[in-house]
Amino acid sequence: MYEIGICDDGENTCSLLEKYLLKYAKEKSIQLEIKIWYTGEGLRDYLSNSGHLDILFLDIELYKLSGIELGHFIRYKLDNMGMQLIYISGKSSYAMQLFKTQPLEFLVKPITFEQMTESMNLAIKIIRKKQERFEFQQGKDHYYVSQSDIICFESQGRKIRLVTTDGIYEFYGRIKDVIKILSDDFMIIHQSYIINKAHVRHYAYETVEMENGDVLTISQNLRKQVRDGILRSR
Amino acid sequence: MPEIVIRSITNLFRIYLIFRFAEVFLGKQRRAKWMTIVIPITYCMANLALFWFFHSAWINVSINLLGTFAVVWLFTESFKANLFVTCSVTIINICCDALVTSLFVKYVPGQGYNPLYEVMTDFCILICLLLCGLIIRTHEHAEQGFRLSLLSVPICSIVTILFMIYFTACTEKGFIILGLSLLVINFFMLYQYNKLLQSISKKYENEMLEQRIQIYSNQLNIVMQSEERTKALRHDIKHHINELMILAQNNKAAELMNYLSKMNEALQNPDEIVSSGNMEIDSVLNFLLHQAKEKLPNVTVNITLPEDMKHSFDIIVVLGNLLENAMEAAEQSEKKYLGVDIYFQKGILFIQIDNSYSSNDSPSKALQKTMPAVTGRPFKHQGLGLKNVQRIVDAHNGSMEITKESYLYSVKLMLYMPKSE
Repeated sequence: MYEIGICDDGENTCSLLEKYLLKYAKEKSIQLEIKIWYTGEGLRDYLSNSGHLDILFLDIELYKLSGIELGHFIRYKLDNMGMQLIYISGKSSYAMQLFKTQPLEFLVKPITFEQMTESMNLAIKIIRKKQERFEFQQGKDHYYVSQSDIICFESQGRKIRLVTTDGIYEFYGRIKDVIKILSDDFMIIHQSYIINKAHVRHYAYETVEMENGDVLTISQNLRKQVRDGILRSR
Repeated sequence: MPEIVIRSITNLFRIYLIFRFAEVFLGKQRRAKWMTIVIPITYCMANLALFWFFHSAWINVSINLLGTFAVVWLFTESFKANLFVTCSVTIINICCDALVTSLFVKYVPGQGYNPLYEVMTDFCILICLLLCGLIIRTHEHAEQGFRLSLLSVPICSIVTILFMIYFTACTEKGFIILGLSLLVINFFMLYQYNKLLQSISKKYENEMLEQRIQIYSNQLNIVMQSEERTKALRHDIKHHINELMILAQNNKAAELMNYLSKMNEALQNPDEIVSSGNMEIDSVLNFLLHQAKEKLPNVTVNITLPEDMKHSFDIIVVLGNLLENAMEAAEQSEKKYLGVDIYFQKGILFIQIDNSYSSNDSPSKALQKTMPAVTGRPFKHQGLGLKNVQRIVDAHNGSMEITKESYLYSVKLMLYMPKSE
């Protein structure tokens, strides 16, 4: 079951999206729990009180607390990088601030069922990837972490430092063996680093800034390969 | 032995000077780094070896011409530009040689002389290089600056001086006068060459400005039209509300929907194809896509860009060149399809332009249509189509890929955009 949020000050837009979502759920035979807010404040209160959402349709031009502010609140105050943000707006022009909240999609009103279906398909595909796990051994204990929670792997001598959204682990291994068992969301950028593309905040030619603020260097001989990889995966 | 060492050093230094001359004429070198090392060393070794074995002045001149041509090739792909630079540099070299030998040694064609005089020749060439750097102030559009009238000056100079030297048709004093005169004539020619390049630059700048004015005025018209439409609707809003209320009271849902969609249509400006909020990018895309929509029935546009995108000028040049190429190829095809997808994500700008191409075209011919051509189209005047795009892609450390499917050409590129603070 997926928890979906809709936050828009237009009641009709909310009910139209809800109608589309119910139709989508029926067509795809999936269960959805839909929550609706007409103000940004209501949504903020829900999320502040540990409320969970998998996907959020968020209006950019909300009356008081805007979509941009809410996006920042979700990503930087709540540190929630897993929620799939789909912005909705009456305009097709967007501020740079919006792009910093790593939205999945932008939908322009009037929204069609086809557009919503496409966005939902993509969001659900990403969420499903969360179920892929990475297994490692620490001493005699076996650990499992969701691949989507992994930010990066850093090789430190014979050990590998595994940085996830929940914390840092260490295990013995080699980067070139680890990459073989990971999904194609992962990419080697240096002989000591593997990154999860889904957790990149900003790409530059020489460096990659991860969501946790770490800035990792792309090794000189891999820069072209990384760049072409990004272009092809688009 | 010390003679060989000095000769090798002076030879290498002279090749370095030729390298610097090419830089003055053509800017940065464009080939792989290893070529920058291999070509001058091969040139130097070939020069020394052939001089040693044959002691022939003609072989000497030929190898120098070939070597200079190879060094200049590191800087340009254009044969004409290379020929011009090679001849200009060669005549300066020969004149300096002639001056030094006439002043200090009794020169026998093909025979060596005290290598210390070669140091003096190199010094002379160095002074000419500095002078050349003062005269030639631009190397932009060097590839388009070729004129036969200009090239004839160094070529005739080379022929004259070689004739005089190898048929000993002149006294030593005559050589000094001839060498100096030819240097002066060639420097004047280079002065004219520089003027020509500057006027080409000015011409392009003017054309670009005219193009920008045309694009901006088009965008201004679009904005004004949109404003007019909104104003008109706002003016009649009471009337419309009244109409809508009546329809609602009478439960005429279908008619209500119809009325609303007409109101929505009235608000839409058909000329405003793109409204990303980035004025410069919107202007160019609206201008070009408007033309595309007139000629092509299948145009899809998908743009998600931040309003305050940096480096919009670079993006405009990229979009302008790619779209013009794609539109031209699509227009001649059966499917007449153009797809534009522009997206900004995580510090990277992705651009994908797809177009159909004519099935009558062989892949290479169709690719040529997608690739750059020197035509009279506005964006092409800014440079050489895809070459300019590649230059911008390189400047942003980006990447570009051109692919071909059964009927579709795709140019896909990504540019790293610096973080806006």
